[in-house]
Amino acid sequence: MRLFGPKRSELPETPVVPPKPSAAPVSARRENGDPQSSFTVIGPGLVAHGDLDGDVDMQIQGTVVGDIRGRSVTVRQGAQIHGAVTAGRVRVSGLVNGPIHAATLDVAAPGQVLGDVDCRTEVIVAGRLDGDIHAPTVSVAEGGSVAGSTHAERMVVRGTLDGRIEAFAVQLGKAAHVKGAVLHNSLNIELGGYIDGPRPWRPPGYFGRG
Amino acid sequence: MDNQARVPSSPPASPAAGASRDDISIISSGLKVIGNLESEDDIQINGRVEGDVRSRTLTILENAQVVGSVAADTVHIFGSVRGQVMGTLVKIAQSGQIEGDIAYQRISIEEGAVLEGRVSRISNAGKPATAPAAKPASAPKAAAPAAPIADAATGGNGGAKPEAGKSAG
Repeated sequence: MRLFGPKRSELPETPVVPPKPSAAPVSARRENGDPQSSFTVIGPGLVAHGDLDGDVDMQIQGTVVGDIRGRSVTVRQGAQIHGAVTAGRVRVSGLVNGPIHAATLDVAAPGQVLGDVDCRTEVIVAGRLDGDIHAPTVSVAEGGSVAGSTHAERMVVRGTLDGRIEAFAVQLGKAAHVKGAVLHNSLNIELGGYIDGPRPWRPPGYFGRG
Repeated sequence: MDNQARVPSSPPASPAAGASRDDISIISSGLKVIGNLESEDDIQINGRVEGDVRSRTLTILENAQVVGSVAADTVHIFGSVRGQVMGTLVKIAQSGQIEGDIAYQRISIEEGAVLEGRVSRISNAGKPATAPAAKPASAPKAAAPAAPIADAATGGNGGAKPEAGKSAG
């Protein structure tokens, strides 16, 4: 039982006047570009010696010697990255000399990747990739080449591949040229497709499938 | 309020983000660079850089932070710099904050800018001439008169010759 009513601390707080949206920063902003942009550009004349880290989209045209972590990374033709790349989406038309971790990796025609690749979704190689690949889906497009072993669920080869394939379903196009063992559960070779190596069948459990 | 540009192909009305200007580099907000940036072209920083920056035109935007020395032909500072600033032309906006020494040939400092450090003029030979340090938040005029003095001090030999010739003739 209370004699003196509610304690002061229990009183409803005096209504707080909502702070007015401060217009000052906006009005104070001048011709200083676009502060909202989350789009990073490393221009062709730029050399960055160090790491780039942020949840932003990046377009690399210059040179980065260091690791990159971003939302999406596009490595344009002529650009060079010497370091690891980690991003949701990675597109390479230039050179990446280092490992890549991504959801999807797209190595476009003149692009080159020297390093191992680990992707959560898909890897498409129309350029060149020297390194091992881990991804659910891997496609080597016509004209593309891979040197390294591949672990995938589904693998489509229309270009050149030098290395061992371990994939549940393997499909070879007519221009495919594979040098190495192909471990598969199902193998489909179009007329003209070529394998230089053994092609042992494996049960689904081998690939982690029930 | 999140009106950030998420689609690279449709940047907001910034000329810098346009694909046509491909000689400029942009370190966007949200990006942290740990290391040095060196460019023969322009750099615009809106994020955070921990390292030295060197370029032709360098613009450090309002929310940007640079911890390291910066050097460029033109340095335009709207944000904060902790480190040495060197430029042929140094422009510091009212939102600019500099904690470090400034070496310049031409300078402008807006009212409201915060400076902590020595301000000295670079002689044409490239060596920073020792001029009296400007007070923080000083007006641009404060630094300007120091220039001729500094010039005369370092370039005394060059200036003496024609005068000697004049007096002789």
